[in-house]
Amino acid sequence: MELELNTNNLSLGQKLYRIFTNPSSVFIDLEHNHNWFAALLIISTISLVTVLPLLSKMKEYSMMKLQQMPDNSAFATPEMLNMAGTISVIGILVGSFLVPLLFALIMALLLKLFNAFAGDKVKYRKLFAVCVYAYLPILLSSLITLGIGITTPAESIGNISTSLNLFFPPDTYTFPAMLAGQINPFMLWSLYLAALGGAILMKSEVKKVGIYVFLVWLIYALGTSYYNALKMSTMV
Amino acid sequence: MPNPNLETTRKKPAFKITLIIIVVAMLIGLNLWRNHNYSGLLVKTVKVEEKSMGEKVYASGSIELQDKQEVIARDNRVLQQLYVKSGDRVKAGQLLAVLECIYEEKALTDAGVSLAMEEAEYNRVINPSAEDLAIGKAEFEQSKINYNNSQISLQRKEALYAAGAISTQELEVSRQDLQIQETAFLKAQKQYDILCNGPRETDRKAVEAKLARAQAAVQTAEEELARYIIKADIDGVVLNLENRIGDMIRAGEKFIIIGQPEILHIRVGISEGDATRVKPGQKVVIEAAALPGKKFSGKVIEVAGLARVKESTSTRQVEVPVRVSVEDKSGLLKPGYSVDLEIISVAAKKRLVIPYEALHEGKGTKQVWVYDDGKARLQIVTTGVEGELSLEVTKGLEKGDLLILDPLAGLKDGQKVRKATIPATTPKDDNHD
Repeated sequence: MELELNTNNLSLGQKLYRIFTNPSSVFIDLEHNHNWFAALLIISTISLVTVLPLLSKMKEYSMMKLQQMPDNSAFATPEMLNMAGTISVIGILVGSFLVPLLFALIMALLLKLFNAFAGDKVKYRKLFAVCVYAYLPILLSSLITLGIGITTPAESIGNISTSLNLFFPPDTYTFPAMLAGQINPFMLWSLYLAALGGAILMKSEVKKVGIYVFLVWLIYALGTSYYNALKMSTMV
Repeated sequence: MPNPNLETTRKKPAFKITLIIIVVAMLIGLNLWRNHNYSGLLVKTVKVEEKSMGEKVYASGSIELQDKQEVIARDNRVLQQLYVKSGDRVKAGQLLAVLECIYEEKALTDAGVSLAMEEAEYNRVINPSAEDLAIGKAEFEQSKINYNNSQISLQRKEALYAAGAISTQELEVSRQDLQIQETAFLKAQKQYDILCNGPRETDRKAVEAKLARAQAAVQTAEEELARYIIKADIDGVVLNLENRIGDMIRAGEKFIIIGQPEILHIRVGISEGDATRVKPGQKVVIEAAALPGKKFSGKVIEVAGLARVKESTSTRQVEVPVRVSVEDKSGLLKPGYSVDLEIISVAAKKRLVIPYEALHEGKGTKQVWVYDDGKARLQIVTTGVEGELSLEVTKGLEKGDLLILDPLAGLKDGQKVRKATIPATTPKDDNHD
């Protein structure tokens, strides 16, 4: 059986590749070489780049949605609507750049919380480095979204999804649909990678860390799905 | 200690990459499938429904007595007599109260005396009695005799004077006496002639004017006195009377109010936009703030021909005054109550109804967007009765047609659209029976 334990001094490129093929080697390497800044910069930049070609469609889509809001008096004139669309696009740009950082910060915090009660003590910045690389599957989903988005008309741009709500009609705001929207294989993959990396660094069982991360995600997914379904039902 | 997680590294990269490619391919496929099946602009839709709907005009006002008498004191007077109390039913002309009026009574007495004197003079001149005629005739006859005697006496004196029996002086006295008797005779003759044939026109007018002046003075005095002898002008009930005998009634004080509480009305101002829809005879639903949950009926009895402007520091409102009769046999409604009115300008009946959110105007026509088998179709419509949240469509639509709500500005005829999963609700509170 082949074991890929030769992880000494993996380059950045190797790490970005191996996170998909052999994530354990990346996390073992991170134990000694936990530089994360370059990786985060690349991931954030790619995340930003994935939305750039879709900006005009996203703006158009945002303006349509704003017009369809129940109380859309604030967007009565084309100028105001255009301004609101521009603001939403700026929000998307900033968000796409910052989301990898926020993901890594929050996930590292959760792992650190777990580490307070179990496993060998690991520094927060090492866990943060793990979570930066763990974001890569989500970035992959962004690239897929970009690919589909280029061929999709503006009014349907909001329908693009990489989660299980693909099995529901678009604009379905029921609780099951909302929950399905939270079940994104790429997100779960990222969570798994974060749990795996955390477990390797903490010298703990992946199962334990995995269950912990999964439960936290499940609570989050159920809570936000319920809240969003409730909110949408009152808006319609 | 060996890391328990290393076993996860045993799978070959080729397998993982293949797995990733399969997942990615599935996702792309699902997205393309969904975009194909659910393409088009997302729109909220609503069905054209048949509902009972009428048209109402809303207004607020307060209840007033239709006929009322408010007795207002002209000046400060003491209440001398009081013949009714609050709540008494009175008849028109019934004495209610007397205020102090000594001066007015005296003025009436004086005017009466003057009138009596003028009437006597008038009767003497215009309508002489038989006695007056007899006296006049006697006076005339007497003056005639006196005159004839004076003539005979003068003839006799002239004969004597010619004979030198009397002096010139005595003759002149006889001549003067004759002149006096002649004057008296002519005067008596004239007066007798007036008694028999009536006075001259100027004399007649003079006595008539004097009599009329005396009569007017009496009437004025009576009217002046009547102001302090209070009588009911209408049949009704004494609604307000708080004073007692001996109280000083101040000038301007409404000290007695009489009205018919069973005949009430309401005066309201209708905004100029609604005024054309309000006409006499329309039914009115009345709700009083003092009687929550109870509804009373009424009828529009008058719509003013002129609008009035109500201005405040910040607003300017043009209103048309409207009068509404109140049909309340229960007696629960009292004058002064605040009421809300629903004037039923068009009676409720089954109509095709759409919400305002579906209607828009373009090129001088009223239009709606119809959801037609996944496409938006522009439809010109004719509207009828307008409710608060919805309106009637009389032409252009059929029951069950699906309309697009709040259509986007850029929507084009024939554009592909898809319905929102949760349909929009149609307004329900425009109905009334």
